[in-house]
Amino acid sequence: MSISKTTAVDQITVTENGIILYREATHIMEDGKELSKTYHRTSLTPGQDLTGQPANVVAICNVAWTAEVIAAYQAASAAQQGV
Amino acid sequence: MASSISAGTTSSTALVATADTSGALELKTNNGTTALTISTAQAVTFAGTATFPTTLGVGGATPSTSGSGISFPATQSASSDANTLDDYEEGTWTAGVSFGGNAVGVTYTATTGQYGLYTKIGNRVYWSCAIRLTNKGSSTGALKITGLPFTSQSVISYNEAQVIAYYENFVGLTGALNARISNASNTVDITQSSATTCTNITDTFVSNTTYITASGSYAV
Repeated sequence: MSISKTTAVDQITVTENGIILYREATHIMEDGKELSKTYHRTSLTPGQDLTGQPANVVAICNVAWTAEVIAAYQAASAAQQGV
Repeated sequence: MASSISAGTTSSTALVATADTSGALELKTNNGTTALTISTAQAVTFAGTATFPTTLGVGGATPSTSGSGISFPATQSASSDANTLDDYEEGTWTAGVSFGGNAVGVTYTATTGQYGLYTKIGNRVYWSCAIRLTNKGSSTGALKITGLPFTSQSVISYNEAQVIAYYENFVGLTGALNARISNASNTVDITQSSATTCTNITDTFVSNTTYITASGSYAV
Protein backbone atom coordinates (compact mmCIF):
# COMPACT_ATOMS: atom_id res chain seq x y z
CA MET A 1 0.00 0.00 0.00
CA SER A 2 1.45 3.33 -1.06
CA ILE A 3 0.00 6.67 0.01
CA SER A 4 1.24 9.89 -1.54
CA LYS A 5 0.38 13.56 -1.23
CA THR A 6 1.05 16.04 -4.01
CA THR A 7 0.35 19.76 -4.22
CA ALA A 8 0.64 21.68 -7.46
CA VAL A 9 -0.68 24.82 -9.09
CA ASP A 10 -3.25 23.41 -11.51
CA GLN A 11 -4.92 26.60 -12.69
CA ILE A 12 -3.70 30.15 -13.35
CA THR A 13 -6.07 32.82 -14.62
CA VAL A 14 -5.18 36.32 -15.77
CA THR A 15 -8.17 38.66 -15.82
CA GLU A 16 -8.70 41.60 -18.15
CA ASN A 17 -7.60 44.15 -15.54
CA GLY A 18 -4.46 42.21 -14.58
CA ILE A 19 -5.66 40.37 -11.46
CA ILE A 20 -4.04 36.94 -11.38
CA LEU A 21 -5.80 34.06 -9.68
CA TYR A 22 -4.27 30.67 -9.13
CA ARG A 23 -5.39 27.41 -7.59
CA GLU A 24 -3.30 24.84 -5.79
CA ALA A 25 -4.70 21.32 -5.85
CA THR A 26 -3.66 18.81 -3.21
CA HIS A 27 -4.24 15.16 -4.06
CA ILE A 28 -3.89 12.28 -1.63
CA MET A 29 -3.51 9.01 -3.52
CA GLU A 30 -3.42 5.41 -2.39
CA ASP A 31 -2.01 2.95 -4.90
CA GLY A 32 -2.92 5.29 -7.71
CA LYS A 33 -6.48 5.81 -6.52
CA GLU A 34 -7.48 9.28 -5.36
CA LEU A 35 -8.57 9.38 -1.73
CA SER A 36 -9.11 13.11 -1.51
CA LYS A 37 -8.68 16.34 -3.45
CA THR A 38 -8.63 19.81 -1.90
CA TYR A 39 -8.17 23.28 -3.36
CA HIS A 40 -6.56 26.46 -2.09
CA ARG A 41 -6.95 29.69 -4.05
CA THR A 42 -4.91 32.87 -4.05
CA SER A 43 -5.42 36.07 -6.00
CA LEU A 44 -2.89 38.78 -6.71
CA THR A 45 -3.48 42.38 -7.69
CA PRO A 46 -1.22 44.13 -10.22
CA GLY A 47 1.91 45.42 -8.53
CA GLN A 48 1.48 43.28 -5.40
CA ASP A 49 4.56 41.93 -3.62
CA LEU A 50 5.25 38.42 -4.97
CA THR A 51 7.42 37.16 -2.13
CA GLY A 52 6.62 33.53 -1.40
CA GLN A 53 4.49 32.97 -4.50
CA PRO A 54 5.10 29.92 -6.74
CA ALA A 55 7.74 30.46 -9.42
CA ASN A 56 5.40 29.74 -12.34
CA VAL A 57 2.90 32.27 -10.99
CA VAL A 58 5.62 34.88 -10.52
CA ALA A 59 6.74 34.36 -14.10
CA ILE A 60 3.24 35.08 -15.38
CA CYS A 61 2.85 38.10 -13.12
CA ASN A 62 6.09 39.55 -14.42
CA VAL A 63 4.82 39.28 -17.98
CA ALA A 64 1.26 40.44 -17.35
CA TRP A 65 2.01 43.30 -14.98
CA THR A 66 3.40 45.95 -17.25
CA ALA A 67 3.73 49.47 -15.89
CA GLU A 68 0.61 50.39 -17.86
CA VAL A 69 -1.43 47.53 -16.39
CA ILE A 70 -0.38 48.40 -12.85
CA ALA A 71 -1.17 52.08 -13.33
CA ALA A 72 -4.55 51.34 -14.87
CA TYR A 73 -5.47 48.93 -12.07
CA GLN A 74 -4.47 51.37 -9.36
CA ALA A 75 -6.41 54.18 -11.02
CA ALA A 76 -9.52 52.02 -11.36
CA SER A 77 -9.20 50.81 -7.78
CA ALA A 78 -8.90 54.34 -6.45
CA ALA A 79 -11.92 55.43 -8.49
CA GLN A 80 -14.00 52.52 -7.18
CA GLN A 81 -13.14 53.29 -3.57
CA GLY A 82 -14.95 56.53 -4.11
CA VAL A 83 -15.31 57.59 -0.50
CA MET B 1 -28.02 -2.77 -40.02
CA ALA B 2 -30.69 -4.72 -38.17
CA SER B 3 -31.21 -4.61 -34.42
CA SER B 4 -29.11 -7.15 -32.56
CA ILE B 5 -27.95 -8.38 -29.20
CA SER B 6 -24.66 -10.18 -29.03
CA ALA B 7 -21.98 -11.27 -26.67
CA GLY B 8 -19.08 -8.87 -26.36
CA THR B 9 -16.07 -9.42 -28.53
CA THR B 10 -13.53 -8.07 -26.08
CA SER B 11 -12.82 -8.91 -22.47
CA SER B 12 -14.24 -5.56 -21.33
CA THR B 13 -17.52 -5.87 -23.22
CA ALA B 14 -20.02 -8.33 -21.82
CA LEU B 15 -23.05 -7.60 -23.94
CA VAL B 16 -23.68 -5.41 -26.94
CA ALA B 17 -27.16 -4.24 -27.90
CA THR B 18 -27.37 -2.45 -31.21
CA ALA B 19 -30.33 -0.52 -32.59
CA ASP B 20 -31.00 -0.39 -36.26
CA THR B 21 -30.09 2.80 -38.09
CA SER B 22 -33.62 4.09 -38.19
CA GLY B 23 -34.49 4.04 -34.50
CA ALA B 24 -33.48 4.39 -30.91
CA LEU B 25 -32.42 1.65 -28.58
CA GLU B 26 -34.95 1.01 -25.83
CA LEU B 27 -35.00 -1.03 -22.66
CA LYS B 28 -38.46 -2.08 -21.58
CA THR B 29 -39.87 -3.36 -18.31
CA ASN B 30 -41.68 -6.68 -18.10
CA ASN B 31 -44.99 -4.98 -18.84
CA GLY B 32 -43.66 -3.50 -22.05
CA THR B 33 -43.15 0.03 -20.80
CA THR B 34 -40.03 1.80 -22.06
CA ALA B 35 -37.71 2.53 -19.11
CA LEU B 36 -34.65 3.84 -20.94
CA THR B 37 -34.13 5.17 -24.42
CA ILE B 38 -30.89 5.87 -26.28
CA SER B 39 -31.54 7.98 -29.34
CA THR B 40 -29.60 7.88 -32.55
CA ALA B 41 -27.87 11.06 -31.32
CA GLN B 42 -26.69 9.17 -28.18
CA ALA B 43 -29.06 11.09 -25.89
CA VAL B 44 -30.11 8.92 -22.94
CA THR B 45 -33.59 9.35 -21.46
CA PHE B 46 -34.81 7.69 -18.28
CA ALA B 47 -38.59 7.35 -18.28
CA GLY B 48 -38.77 7.15 -14.50
CA THR B 49 -36.59 8.23 -11.64
CA ALA B 50 -32.88 7.44 -11.81
CA THR B 51 -30.76 6.38 -8.86
CA PHE B 52 -27.00 6.74 -8.70
CA PRO B 53 -25.77 5.05 -5.50
CA THR B 54 -22.42 6.83 -5.45
CA THR B 55 -21.31 9.76 -7.60
CA LEU B 56 -22.23 11.12 -11.00
CA GLY B 57 -19.65 12.90 -13.14
CA VAL B 58 -20.80 15.58 -15.57
CA GLY B 59 -18.93 17.43 -18.29
CA GLY B 60 -16.26 14.77 -18.50
CA ALA B 61 -15.47 14.91 -14.77
CA THR B 62 -14.17 11.75 -13.16
CA PRO B 63 -16.73 10.84 -10.49
CA SER B 64 -15.33 11.18 -6.99
CA THR B 65 -14.60 7.88 -5.26
CA SER B 66 -15.59 9.29 -1.87
CA GLY B 67 -19.12 9.93 -0.67
CA SER B 68 -21.98 10.46 -3.08
CA GLY B 69 -22.95 13.44 -5.17
CA ILE B 70 -22.31 15.20 -8.45
CA SER B 71 -18.73 15.71 -9.63
CA PHE B 72 -18.17 18.77 -11.82
CA PRO B 73 -15.11 19.35 -14.02
CA ALA B 74 -12.06 20.80 -12.24
CA THR B 75 -12.28 23.74 -14.64
CA GLN B 76 -15.72 25.22 -15.20
CA SER B 77 -17.47 24.50 -18.47
CA ALA B 78 -19.64 27.61 -18.48
CA SER B 79 -23.18 27.38 -19.75
CA SER B 80 -25.05 30.35 -21.18
CA ASP B 81 -28.35 28.78 -20.14
CA ALA B 82 -29.91 30.41 -17.07
CA ASN B 83 -31.32 27.11 -15.79
CA THR B 84 -28.10 25.12 -15.92
CA LEU B 85 -25.89 24.57 -12.87
CA ASP B 86 -22.46 24.52 -14.47
CA ASP B 87 -19.94 24.72 -11.63
CA TYR B 88 -19.27 23.69 -8.06
CA GLU B 89 -16.03 24.07 -6.12
CA GLU B 90 -15.06 24.41 -2.48
CA GLY B 91 -11.75 25.18 -0.85
CA THR B 92 -9.65 27.56 1.18
CA TRP B 93 -8.09 30.89 0.22
CA THR B 94 -5.41 33.23 1.52
CA ALA B 95 -6.99 36.32 3.04
CA GLY B 96 -4.97 39.45 3.79
CA VAL B 97 -5.20 43.20 4.12
CA SER B 98 -3.79 46.14 2.23
CA PHE B 99 -3.65 49.88 2.86
CA GLY B 100 -3.86 52.01 -0.24
CA GLY B 101 -3.18 48.89 -2.29
CA ASN B 102 0.04 47.98 -0.50
CA ALA B 103 0.91 45.76 2.44
CA VAL B 104 4.51 46.59 3.30
CA GLY B 105 5.53 44.89 6.54
CA VAL B 106 2.08 43.46 7.33
CA THR B 107 2.28 40.20 9.29
CA TYR B 108 -0.33 37.80 10.57
CA THR B 109 -0.77 35.14 13.23
CA ALA B 110 0.76 31.93 11.95
CA THR B 111 -1.56 29.29 10.48
CA THR B 112 -4.88 30.92 11.37
CA GLY B 113 -4.17 34.59 10.73
CA GLN B 114 -5.12 34.57 7.05
CA TYR B 115 -7.74 31.85 6.91
CA GLY B 116 -10.46 31.85 4.29
CA LEU B 117 -13.09 29.41 3.07
CA TYR B 118 -15.11 29.53 -0.14
CA THR B 119 -17.76 27.64 -2.03
CA LYS B 120 -18.58 28.49 -5.63
CA ILE B 121 -21.98 27.45 -6.91
CA GLY B 122 -22.67 28.40 -10.49
CA ASN B 123 -21.90 32.08 -10.90
CA ARG B 124 -21.87 32.95 -7.18
CA VAL B 125 -19.04 32.68 -4.67
CA TYR B 126 -19.77 32.34 -0.95
CA TRP B 127 -16.77 33.32 1.19
CA SER B 128 -15.67 33.86 4.74
CA CYS B 129 -12.40 34.77 6.38
CA ALA B 130 -10.67 35.48 9.67
CA ILE B 131 -7.67 37.81 9.70
CA ARG B 132 -5.53 38.48 12.76
CA LEU B 133 -2.64 40.92 12.45
CA THR B 134 0.60 40.79 14.37
CA ASN B 135 1.92 43.93 12.66
CA LYS B 136 0.03 46.37 10.43
CA GLY B 137 3.20 47.41 8.64
CA SER B 138 3.95 50.79 7.13
CA SER B 139 1.59 51.14 4.16
CA THR B 140 -0.98 53.90 4.33
CA GLY B 141 -4.39 54.47 2.85
CA ALA B 142 -7.76 52.72 2.65
CA LEU B 143 -8.11 49.29 4.22
CA LYS B 144 -9.09 46.38 2.01
CA ILE B 145 -9.39 42.66 2.54
CA THR B 146 -7.35 41.09 -0.24
CA GLY B 147 -7.08 37.73 -1.96
CA LEU B 148 -10.68 36.80 -2.77
CA PRO B 149 -10.68 33.42 -4.52
CA PHE B 150 -12.39 34.68 -7.70
CA THR B 151 -12.69 38.05 -9.40
CA SER B 152 -16.12 39.64 -9.12
CA GLN B 153 -18.32 40.25 -12.17
CA SER B 154 -17.46 43.17 -14.40
CA VAL B 155 -20.80 44.98 -14.54
CA ILE B 156 -19.94 48.66 -14.38
CA SER B 157 -20.32 50.43 -11.03
CA TYR B 158 -22.09 47.60 -9.29
CA ASN B 159 -21.18 46.89 -5.66
CA GLU B 160 -22.30 43.95 -3.58
CA ALA B 161 -22.79 44.33 0.18
CA GLN B 162 -20.81 42.02 2.47
CA VAL B 163 -20.75 41.54 6.23
CA ILE B 164 -18.11 42.31 8.85
CA ALA B 165 -19.20 39.73 11.38
CA TYR B 166 -16.89 40.58 14.27
CA TYR B 167 -13.81 42.67 14.92
CA GLU B 168 -11.36 43.56 17.67
CA ASN B 169 -8.70 46.18 18.29
CA PHE B 170 -9.58 48.89 15.82
CA VAL B 171 -8.74 52.43 16.95
CA GLY B 172 -11.02 55.48 17.00
CA LEU B 173 -14.02 54.11 15.13
CA THR B 174 -17.06 56.38 15.12
CA GLY B 175 -19.50 54.13 13.31
CA ALA B 176 -20.27 50.54 12.39
CA LEU B 177 -18.06 48.79 9.86
CA ASN B 178 -19.40 48.05 6.40
CA ALA B 179 -17.99 45.98 3.56
CA ARG B 180 -18.54 45.88 -0.18
CA ILE B 181 -17.07 44.27 -3.27
CA SER B 182 -16.76 46.39 -6.39
CA ASN B 183 -16.98 45.11 -9.95
CA ALA B 184 -14.00 43.25 -11.47
CA SER B 185 -12.31 43.08 -8.09
CA ASN B 186 -10.61 40.56 -5.81
CA THR B 187 -10.73 42.82 -2.73
CA VAL B 188 -13.29 43.93 -0.14
CA ASP B 189 -13.56 47.64 0.67
CA ILE B 190 -14.06 48.42 4.38
CA THR B 191 -15.87 51.60 5.44
CA GLN B 192 -17.53 52.95 8.55
CA SER B 193 -20.97 54.49 8.77
CA SER B 194 -21.75 58.09 9.67
CA ALA B 195 -25.13 59.79 9.81
CA THR B 196 -25.15 60.54 6.10
CA THR B 197 -22.57 58.37 4.31
CA CYS B 198 -19.74 55.88 4.62
CA THR B 199 -16.08 56.79 4.87
CA ASN B 200 -12.99 54.71 4.28
CA ILE B 201 -11.30 52.88 7.09
CA THR B 202 -7.65 53.76 6.73
CA ASP B 203 -4.47 52.48 8.34
CA THR B 204 -4.87 54.96 11.20
CA PHE B 205 -7.90 53.02 12.48
CA VAL B 206 -6.01 49.72 12.46
CA SER B 207 -3.70 48.48 15.20
CA ASN B 208 -0.98 45.86 15.24
CA THR B 209 -3.44 43.38 16.77
CA THR B 210 -6.55 44.07 14.72
CA TYR B 211 -8.79 41.07 14.14
CA ILE B 212 -11.52 40.85 11.49
CA THR B 213 -13.98 38.14 10.59
CA ALA B 214 -16.08 38.71 7.51
CA SER B 215 -18.25 36.81 5.08
CA GLY B 216 -20.53 37.31 2.14
CA SER B 217 -21.19 36.34 -1.41
CA TYR B 218 -20.71 37.88 -4.82
CA ALA B 219 -21.41 37.20 -8.46
CA VAL B 220 -18.65 36.25 -10.87
